[in-house]
Amino acid sequence: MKKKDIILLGTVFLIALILLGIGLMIKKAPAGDGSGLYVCIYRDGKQFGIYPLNEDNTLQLGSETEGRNSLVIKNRSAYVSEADCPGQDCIHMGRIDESGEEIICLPHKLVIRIEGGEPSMDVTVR
Amino acid sequence: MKKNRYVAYMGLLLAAAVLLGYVEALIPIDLMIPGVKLGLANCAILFVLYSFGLKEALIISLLRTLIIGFIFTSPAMLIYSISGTAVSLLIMAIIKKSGHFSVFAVSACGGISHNITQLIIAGFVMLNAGAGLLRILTFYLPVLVMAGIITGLLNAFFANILIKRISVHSDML
Ligand SMILES: [Zn+2]
Repeated sequence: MKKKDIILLGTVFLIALILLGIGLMIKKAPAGDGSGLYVCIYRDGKQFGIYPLNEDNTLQLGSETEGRNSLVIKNRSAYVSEADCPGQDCIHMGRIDESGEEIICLPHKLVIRIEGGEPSMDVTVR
Repeated sequence: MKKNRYVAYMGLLLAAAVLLGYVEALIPIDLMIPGVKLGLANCAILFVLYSFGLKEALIISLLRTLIIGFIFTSPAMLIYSISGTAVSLLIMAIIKKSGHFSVFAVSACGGISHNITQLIIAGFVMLNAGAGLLRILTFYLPVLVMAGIITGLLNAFFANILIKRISVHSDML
């Protein structure tokens, strides 16, 4: 490696580290028992489902045309157990259990996010 | 004769790049953003970029993306991976041409730009579903930049060995 390589990559790495540090500082503390947290499901930017994180559940999302994903809510965490998307990235993304965390299935335009954890937040259960 | 040898060489390198992509598809790694991978095939692309040139690297990387795309992914994901491949190769060619940096920085910048391209595309889907821009900028972006540097350096390490060991004579071109 050249000296210029180290200067360039070191600077970029440091900037990324500072950004991440800021991100971790402003991150909200998770609600301990998962109460007040909701699993919100979006397709193509539109929310079509919301479920409490502290109630175990298995959901079949989507159709033949939209693509199918099985979402499991268990032990105050959520994960995709099965999907018919190529790549299976949504399954590989694993479990989410904190407010703001997301699972994304890009081919199915599906976003699953944990929201809530703040008393002021207006969440309606369908 | 020269032309046949050239075509055979390109075919061999394309096969190697596809194989590396296949090996990668077998390793499921959790890097938070769909499409962000180790980029093992970049070893082969780097070798082609250094030993042959930008034209050859572009042909091989685009063909590789198409082949991998038809085997493993859908047409929608194909556009996604082609843009990542094209942007990262272009950035690598520019950094290399500047003459100030070695294969390590070239590869790392390729990794960073590939991941940022994927994040920009995934970002639209995420923002559309109400994800915070702040979270994207202070979490996904730095993690993907750091991942790009680390995987880029790893690829450069292997590509560097190939570039030094395998000398491409002018009669192969
Ligand atoms: Zn998926």
